[in-house]
Amino acid sequence: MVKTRLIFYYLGVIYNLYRISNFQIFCFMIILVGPVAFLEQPGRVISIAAQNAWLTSLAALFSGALIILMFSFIIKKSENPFPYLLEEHFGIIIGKFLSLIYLLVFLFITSYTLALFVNFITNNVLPDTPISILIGGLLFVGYIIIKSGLESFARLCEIIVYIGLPFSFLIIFLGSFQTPDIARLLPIGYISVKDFSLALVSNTSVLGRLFPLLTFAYFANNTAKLNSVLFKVLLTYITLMTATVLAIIVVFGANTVDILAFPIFSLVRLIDISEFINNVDIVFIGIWVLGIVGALTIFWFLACFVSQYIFNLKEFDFLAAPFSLIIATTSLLMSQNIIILNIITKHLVIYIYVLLFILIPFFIFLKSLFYSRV
Amino acid sequence: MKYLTTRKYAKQSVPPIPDRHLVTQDLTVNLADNLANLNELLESCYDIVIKEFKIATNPSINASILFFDGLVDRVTIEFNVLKPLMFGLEEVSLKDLSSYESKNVFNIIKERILSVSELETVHNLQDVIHHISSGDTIILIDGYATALVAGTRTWQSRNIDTPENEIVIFGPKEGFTETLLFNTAALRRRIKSTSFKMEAFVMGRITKTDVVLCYIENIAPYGLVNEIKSRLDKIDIDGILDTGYLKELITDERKSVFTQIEHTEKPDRVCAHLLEGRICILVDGSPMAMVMPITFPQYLIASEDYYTHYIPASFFRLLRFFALFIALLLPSLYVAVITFHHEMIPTSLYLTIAATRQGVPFPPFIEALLLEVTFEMLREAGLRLPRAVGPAVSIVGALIIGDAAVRAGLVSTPIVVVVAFTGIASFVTPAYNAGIVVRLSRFAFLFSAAILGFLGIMITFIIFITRMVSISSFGQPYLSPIAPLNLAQLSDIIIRRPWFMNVKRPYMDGMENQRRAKMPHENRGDGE
Amino acid sequence: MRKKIINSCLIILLILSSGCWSSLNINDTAVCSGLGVDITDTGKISVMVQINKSVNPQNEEGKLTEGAFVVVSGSGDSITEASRKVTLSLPRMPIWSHADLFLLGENLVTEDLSILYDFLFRNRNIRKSSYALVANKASLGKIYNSDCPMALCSARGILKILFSQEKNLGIYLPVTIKDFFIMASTPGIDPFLPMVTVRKDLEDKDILTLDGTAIFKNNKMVGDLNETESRGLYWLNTKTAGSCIVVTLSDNPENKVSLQACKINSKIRPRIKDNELVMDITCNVDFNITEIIGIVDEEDEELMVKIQNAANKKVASHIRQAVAKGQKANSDFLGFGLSISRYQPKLWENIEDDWENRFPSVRTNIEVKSNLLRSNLIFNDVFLVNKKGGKP
Repeated sequence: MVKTRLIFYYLGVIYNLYRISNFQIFCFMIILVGPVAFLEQPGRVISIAAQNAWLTSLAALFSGALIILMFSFIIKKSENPFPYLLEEHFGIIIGKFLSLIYLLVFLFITSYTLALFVNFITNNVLPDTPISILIGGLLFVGYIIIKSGLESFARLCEIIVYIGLPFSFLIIFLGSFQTPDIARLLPIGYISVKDFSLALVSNTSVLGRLFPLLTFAYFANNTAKLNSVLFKVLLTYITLMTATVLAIIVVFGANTVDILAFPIFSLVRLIDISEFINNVDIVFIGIWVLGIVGALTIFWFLACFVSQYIFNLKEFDFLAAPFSLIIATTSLLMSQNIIILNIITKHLVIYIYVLLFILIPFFIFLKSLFYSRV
Repeated sequence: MKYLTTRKYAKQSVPPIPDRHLVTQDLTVNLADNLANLNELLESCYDIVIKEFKIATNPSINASILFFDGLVDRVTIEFNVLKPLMFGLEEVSLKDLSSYESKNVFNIIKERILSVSELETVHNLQDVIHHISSGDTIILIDGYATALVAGTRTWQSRNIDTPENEIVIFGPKEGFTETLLFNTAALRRRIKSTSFKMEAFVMGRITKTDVVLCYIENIAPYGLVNEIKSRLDKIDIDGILDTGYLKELITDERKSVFTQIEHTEKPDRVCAHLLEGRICILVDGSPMAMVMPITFPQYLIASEDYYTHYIPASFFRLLRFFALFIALLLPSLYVAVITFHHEMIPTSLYLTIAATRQGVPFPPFIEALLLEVTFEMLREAGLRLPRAVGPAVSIVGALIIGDAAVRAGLVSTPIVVVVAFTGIASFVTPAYNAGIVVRLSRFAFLFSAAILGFLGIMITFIIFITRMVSISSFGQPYLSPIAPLNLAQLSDIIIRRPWFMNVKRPYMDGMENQRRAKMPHENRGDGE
Repeated sequence: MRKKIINSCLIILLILSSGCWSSLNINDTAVCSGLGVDITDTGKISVMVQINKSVNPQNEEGKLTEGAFVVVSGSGDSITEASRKVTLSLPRMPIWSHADLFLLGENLVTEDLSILYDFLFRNRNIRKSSYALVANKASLGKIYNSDCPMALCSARGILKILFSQEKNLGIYLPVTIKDFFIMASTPGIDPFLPMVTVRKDLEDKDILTLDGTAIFKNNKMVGDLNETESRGLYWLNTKTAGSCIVVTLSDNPENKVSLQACKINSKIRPRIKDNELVMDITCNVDFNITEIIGIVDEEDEELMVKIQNAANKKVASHIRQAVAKGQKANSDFLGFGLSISRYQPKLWENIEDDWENRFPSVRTNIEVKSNLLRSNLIFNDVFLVNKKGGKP
């Protein structure tokens, strides 16, 4: 118990100053799973499950619910936020070691998200602008956000969600009118168990990105209703994913999607409203910037937070600057070569999500389930 | 550096301030001493009137009155002060001679002679000076160390007028004036409640300006009132000539361009704010009331919204939100689209724009910047123009810069349309100082659009929003009902909530009395 | 303070150093209205762009001036190279994203189309919602250089023609690049594209006209549908009903009735009958009567049945001809295979590899049901009413 108090001492400042409303938690979580999933997940799932991908997205409702229950159980059973929670459950040595890994992974994910998005922008919008400038610009924004504090960040996330979520649905709505053919969904349910479960795992692994919840939940001002918030997140995510996948299949057909790098982007480019509003992809990319910046800043913030624990620091704001350099370098290295990014996208990311964001929490879950302290 | 320091005035010895100790001195019993002291203090004050006279009886008592000419009502002085003093004592004393002989002449004068409604006593020179400079008349009587203060304040002032900056079609047309009392009266007339409090402060080392803090007890959060009081107490400045002085001294974020305080000239608007638990500060000599705490979305509310039907009012409010974004983003969007995202323009429009831009020497960014700056200059010039030259400037602005520049091939037609549209949209925001934020940030957006196109706009937008959400106005988050979200409050920001559904005040931290009306179903106007 | 100044200087430098790389002055651009790819006689790939000249709104005549467009071409070993070669003879940067038309040259479609697919979908500047056509018996240059009356340029003219004939006449189907690509990449269906050609009009002037539908197999054009066969394709694929046909009544060949379709609903479904695969093609059409030549009594109920039967026969013959052409050329452009894969996925798994050999001999069962909805403004034949001297 004494030890717990000590940990609270380090966190004292944050605990007293920052309180996040449940809606802000909702926004954080949506930003975590939404934009990246929106950009890369449909293609990934459709390539596995073809025209039945939308069924697997729906099925993720159940596997997602399990993951959410697991997370909320961990939150209930532990007294400290992540990463202090690791120490609580595994002891100080393993705790610190794991936190170090998490720190690296958070930095990696931030850089990966950044590299992916910058790659996407240079491919599609600003082909002549050097990557470094884009990375610099986006990191500058993230830096300002982190510096302005968690409370402002939470509010910013709200605004991102107001703008981003309706726009995402708008894209899908408008996109699904571009010469759709419902018959492309046929045959419904004709899918092998292997493909189905693979796609399900892929869909569920994205929900592993909810992992930062283990930190944010402790800043919430109403933890009692946390579960309902999480289920709203899940519902929103499932609705968004299913609608996106449906729209893409109906417009392109499963075979064609296999070839497209960013199917949702191809969908956006098709949008044509009364021959006057067309080629509006740049507007939607602009909206994605909001989401992506939000998503990468959350992990960046977590990286700072974790290193505060590892090195027993009293503050962590100042770490934003050195980390920005690390992130910039890593993402520059990543986007140097098309192959590296492809390997990461296709293989590495899912393993990371599954291993670190689902399996390790699962261990904690099991541990707190069976060895609950008296 | 050399040039900066060379220009120096020869140092002249400043005459010492008339004995500071004099000011703090008490009045003495001897009238002559008092007058001598006052004369010394009021040396080279040309507008002072000191009249010495005798209160006519046997034995006669020396007395004198002092006032600043122009600040007082001469008629009151002559008929209600001088005349009774010089002749009235006789009558009283004849009837009640014993009291005249034995009792205090001072009290008789105070209680029975002077027929003015406001009467006070003061004991030291400092108070004497303060009162005569505020327009009161001081009566000094020989033999008493106390002076009488007769409230005779009156001065020529501007009439109560329709505010020039906040013009309405529906609703009250009255505005504040420079006189504090008229302003407080305008408020008091609207809120006839004892819980409507006005606390006075005197501020400014030299100007001694009256500052009044208005709030409604029980509605305004207690903590907020105390916070503002303590912030006002901390202010130490030589003079306060307008509310603007105070504004910068009491806001949360002094270095931010986002104004966190609203200025208004309309008593009805102030009252509406007071009823929602906000606090108003009036400063003598300024026709502007300050209202706080104000969050950004509230700038888009016009008081007129609440006087018209809620459906058109809601429509216009949505229109204002739209106009805000136009005013903020349109020129930058134009530049971004025209320099980076050609594919977005519909083909037929593209061909037309290409034709109009034929031969224009500047890139779109420079073009937009040029016209935007010109437009701001025109507006700035138009603000302070003497009436006589006003039309001339507008002709120059509209015809020469607009039309001739296009004809000369200096700028293209679309950019003129864009800038004009932006200009109109920026006037749609009801609050002038919120418009300033938009006008300034527009240039930031323009720059970023020229550098990174739409992506740049988005990056600037995020920074813009981050700045906005990280500041607060007296503890209220600056984007308050939007972020952090407050759905109940948002319904009266985005649209105008009908009065029959408006049962709760917008929530502020610490507000206890939130209910403002009965529930809608109880509040139906159809009697039994 | 000094730190702040240095920081802000660094930020400003960062911003300014980005310059405006991707920016492009609108005066340095040229709007393409149409693109075209072909293979030259020497085996090189040539790319042709039709470029619109800008339109001055202050032009007082307000008319479209002659020569409002220019056509530029380049050739190279790949499409990208050829399209970059265009800049050799064009002082401006061509903006492709405005091009609504993508024309495929005759040589290209008969030789190998596969070089095109990758380019079409990899290149971000090509709008996937633009329309693709095949140039028939005319070079790309000839088509792009010829006039199209009442249109800004031939590229936009062709498109307008394509849409308006789909709505009013109903012969050819517009195909977007996206649809073309989907058809090419989905197993069980082969792509088709409408064709455009230049023919002489009565005054011996070159005018553009649509002519036939090209059908493909294995990235090659293997045949073309004539007008009747194209109509068959139209009945089974259109989403805009508006086709117009003329039917002859069986009892009196003099009587000709013009019908306009106002609702078309067609299906292709596989069915196993006696261990043999039969494709059921059903087509339900609602017609309006637009014109009657000859003397008929419209209130005669049998007449309506007769007209319907005649229409059924006509539509069925269109479809039958199209199917026959497809089977002859072994091009499954009607999507029989796709239909099997959708409705009999297990069967499809078995026959997918062998589909190429099976397709030409697949039996079809065509059923057309037409229904007369309205007869427009008059009930009876004008001629008939006049003869009887008033309404009977």
